[in-house]
Amino acid sequence: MDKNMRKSAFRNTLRVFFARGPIVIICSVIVLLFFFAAIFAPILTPYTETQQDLLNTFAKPSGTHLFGTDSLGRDVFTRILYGARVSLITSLISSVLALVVGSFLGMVAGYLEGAVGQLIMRITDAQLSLPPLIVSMTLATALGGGIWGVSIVIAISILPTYVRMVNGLVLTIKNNDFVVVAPLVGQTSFQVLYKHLFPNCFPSLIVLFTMNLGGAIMLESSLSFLGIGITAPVPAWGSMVSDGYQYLFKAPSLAIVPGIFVMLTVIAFNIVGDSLRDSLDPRLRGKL
Amino acid sequence: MGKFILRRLGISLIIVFLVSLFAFSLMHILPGDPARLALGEEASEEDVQALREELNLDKPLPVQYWLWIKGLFTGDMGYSIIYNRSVKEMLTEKIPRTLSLGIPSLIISSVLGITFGVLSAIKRGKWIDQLITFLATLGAGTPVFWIGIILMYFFGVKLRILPISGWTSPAVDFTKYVRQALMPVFCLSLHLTASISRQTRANMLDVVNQDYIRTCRANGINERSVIFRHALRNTLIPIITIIALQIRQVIGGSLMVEQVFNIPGIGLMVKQGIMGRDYLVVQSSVLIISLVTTVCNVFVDILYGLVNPQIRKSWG
Repeated sequence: MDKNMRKSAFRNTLRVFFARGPIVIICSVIVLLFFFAAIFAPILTPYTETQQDLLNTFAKPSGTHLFGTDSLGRDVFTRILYGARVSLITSLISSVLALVVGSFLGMVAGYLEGAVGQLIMRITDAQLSLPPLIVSMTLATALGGGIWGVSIVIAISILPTYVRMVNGLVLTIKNNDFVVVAPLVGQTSFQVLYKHLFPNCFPSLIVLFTMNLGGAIMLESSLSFLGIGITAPVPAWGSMVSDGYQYLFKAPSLAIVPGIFVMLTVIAFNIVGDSLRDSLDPRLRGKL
Repeated sequence: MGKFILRRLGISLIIVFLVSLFAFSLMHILPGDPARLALGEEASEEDVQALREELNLDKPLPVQYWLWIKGLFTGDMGYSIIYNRSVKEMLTEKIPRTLSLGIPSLIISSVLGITFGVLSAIKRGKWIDQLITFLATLGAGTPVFWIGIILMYFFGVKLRILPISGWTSPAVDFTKYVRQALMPVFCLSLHLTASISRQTRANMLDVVNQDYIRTCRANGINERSVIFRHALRNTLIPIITIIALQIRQVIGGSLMVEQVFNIPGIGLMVKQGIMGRDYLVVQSSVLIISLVTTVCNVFVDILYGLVNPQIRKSWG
């Protein structure tokens, strides 16, 4: 492809990405701010996330405490920033885990079919007939919460989406000549998987990855809300809502503010994910 | 056709078997001894050991699994160690409560979701499409637990027009049931309505661009008939699959909503069961929820097969 064509293809991708109007720009900014807040949390605030001030509890929003303080006098703004950190880390770890394991299982099931493939797909079906939150809750209890525990639980919960999508893609790719011929020139099944099938699934995987980040953040906050995700004193948006819930009459903003952040972040990731899908892989429209 | 149905049933039997293994192992990987948890820290070692034997916890895992499954087939689901009641009795008490919220929300979100989706697709690009798309994005991104609290705060605490929590049987006091159910049903329907509406819109747009629709229009069939008689039917097939998958939520109850509004349904029961290591309660509930979901999915699949010969063929 010559340079000009590549340039125009890139421009076209950008055009489609921003086609939904200013909302995409706003959401991209929110996503960037989210990353920024999560990474630079300690620099952005003079307080620490667990620093208590028992003489100054339930403070109203002011210059010194942007969103006020909670029942232990901790700065809510600081906890929101550190909460972004928890959400970012868990959603990234879980999505990477799900992507790696899910695409491998999906490719194996699609390419090999047979008994192994059947088993993988039937286990996926079985998981999809289980009540999701109950499974996540049991696993989180078993793994004991914490960043890694919660990430693994979320990964397992979003795994079927990856398995099914990759499986479907592989089933359509595998009948192409370049895949059919590969074993004849001496390539092993494993080589076919990572040399031919994986690169062809890659654009869709990137799209699914972005689209799932919002869902992962939502699941993390839901688990934290139920008190089985990230546990105190580490701040997570979900547990901040459930803490604030106890003081709903006294200080409603304690429960309301963290929820707004969950909502903004999830919506921003969803819209950026949708736009990315439209520009990178229009075939998937409506399927994800 | 018979072969197709048999094959589909065979696959679902395997799925149900896998689910029973999942449910069993999920509970048994949890740390902590159910007998010790049930009797408390002060109980003597002999008492705990006696309870363990009574609950068959001293037997090897495969034997425990076998006893559980055998019990299910003979209609004996065992006893809850937390409540000291039969699991069967608890389920027959809790399932109707969960259904009394789940079924209305399933109906509401299907009707609203499909209507919004179709409207949005027909009026593509117009203000109504933009409004619906915006609302769907908003709905899908709102945390259920949070919106529940907000509603409770405004309607229950500030305006005092709705009860903040609880559940009443519609057979006992219908008005009270409706008033208490309004907010939970709204919360349950939010995500589902959003996803059905998005999916309907996308499918409708796909279908509308196909050749046979163009042919319909070229033949001078009026637009209403093109949309409702020709386009909508094909749009709905994938939607029904999505709705059928939601059955697990409807009878499983939304743990989140039951927690926020303090509704004593299946979700909360299972949560307490997990915390208290009430093996039989959790295992049996999970298995029943999955069983119903699987049966609904098989039913939908067979229905598709009956209607559409192409799908029947692809199932082999």
